Amino acid sequence: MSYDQNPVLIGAGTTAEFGVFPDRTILGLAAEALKDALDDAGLDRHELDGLVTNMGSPLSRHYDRICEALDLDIEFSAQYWAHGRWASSCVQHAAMAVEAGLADYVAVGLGLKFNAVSQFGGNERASLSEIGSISEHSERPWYGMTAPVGGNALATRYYMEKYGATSEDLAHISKTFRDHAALHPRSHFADPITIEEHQESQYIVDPLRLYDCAPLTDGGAYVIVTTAENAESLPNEPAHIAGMEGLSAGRNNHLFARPGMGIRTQEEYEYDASVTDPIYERAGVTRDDIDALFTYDAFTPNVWYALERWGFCDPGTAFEFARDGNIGLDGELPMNTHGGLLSNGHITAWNHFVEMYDQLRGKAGDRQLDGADTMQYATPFGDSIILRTRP
Amino acid sequence: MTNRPLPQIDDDAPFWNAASDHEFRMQQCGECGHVRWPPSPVCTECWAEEHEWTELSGRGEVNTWVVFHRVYFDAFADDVPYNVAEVELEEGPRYLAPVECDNDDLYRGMPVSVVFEDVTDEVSLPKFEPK
Ligand SMILES: [Zn+2]
Repeated sequence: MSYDQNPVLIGAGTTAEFGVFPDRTILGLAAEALKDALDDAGLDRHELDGLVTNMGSPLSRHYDRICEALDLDIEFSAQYWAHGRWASSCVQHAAMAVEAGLADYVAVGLGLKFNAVSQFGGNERASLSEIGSISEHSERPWYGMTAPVGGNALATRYYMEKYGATSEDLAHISKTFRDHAALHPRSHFADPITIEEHQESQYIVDPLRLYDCAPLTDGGAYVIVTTAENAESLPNEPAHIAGMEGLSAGRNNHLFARPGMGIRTQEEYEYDASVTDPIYERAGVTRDDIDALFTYDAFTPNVWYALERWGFCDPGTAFEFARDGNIGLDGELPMNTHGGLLSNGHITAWNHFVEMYDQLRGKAGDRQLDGADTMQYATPFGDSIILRTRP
Repeated sequence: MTNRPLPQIDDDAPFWNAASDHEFRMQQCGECGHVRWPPSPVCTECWAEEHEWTELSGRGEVNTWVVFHRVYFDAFADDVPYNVAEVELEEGPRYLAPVECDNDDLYRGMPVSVVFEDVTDEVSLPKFEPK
């Protein structure tokens, strides 16, 4: 099946750099990235009538302040919660808006200063209401347990104990994505690292080391969503949103573990990835058609969980697949070809969408995959989008 | 200990009230007997609302654990490296708390039982010790 209006990406833009910018404002970063995206799309800001973002203050700015400051006149806006995990939900929301005729051209993304928060997850967050008695990242401030790295580490230990994976297996993921980032001119971290450097790096929360955790990055990125018909009069070749899958929730879901693993409220059962078949059916593709897979790699083990959740690896085998060279640019299934959150920059996955679009239109430079026509974004949390060069 | 984070007591108030008496209580369904955690307004098996806060055995096994090396909370600066473990209780639910043992001694399936640390006049924290 395809969507009636054929929602597409028609432009993508970012700040000129990703990094740590104490002297820059969030609004300034948003303006630079949005201007880049509109220029790319061949659109004037007055043609933009939709805006969707995954977070407002304090890490970004609320949609209304963005529109006021950048002089946008928006008729359809939506803002998600203050978390990075909503990127594909935002693109889906924009696609639904153009599908339903609520907007013609929707900018999706944000300007972001992760470094506006001095230390993510510490005392200053203990008082936030979201860290109530029990939270989805497993925050327990009274036991010294913070988020999200703590919750991720809990799942990682479980996975390692159950399947025999090791910290050195994670090192190969860090190294691979760093190698990809070295081929991207805007990367926050582009210096290569070795397996040994990973293994010698300090533990943040054992079993996760420094190089298992994405940096806190400042920057901005937007993509522009419209219909295939609207795109015909614009200069770029569009990327078609061929399939979508929403964010999962419930007692068998955990942000950092595929279903069936058996941590927190999850039941332990033999996970069957065929539950994710519908997105491939909607997009009219099979898993073998996916030229590159992009995931929310805030932490290296997310690669394991995504590969298994989406059926690219059987439960308990993704650590070997990722370790053995399969997720590199020359591998069987290249992943996060721009370096991901871990090295290109923690732009809460907006840089993933920019990279997927660049790969599909042959603009990925030294990272370009030959003949790539199908890209998938898919997270351990259960949300996904498949982009294709044709409907 | 200064600046120590304390639980924000909400729908788990009966849990913390019991803990201050050194009792480990969770919700048990009045219809099907299922013991649930975290707290829920309805049974997660049968959606019945009737329940009581039943005292549990306090025994369980380590399901997974982490060791914090970085200082996220000022109050724990002197404690690093410290552990936090997810313990699967005999009654079924999993509860997250430190195990008072050497971090290197932790293993999956390690039998533990609950103990209480009095932190303030109102708050006692359930923790675990090897059994
Ligand atoms: Zn019940």
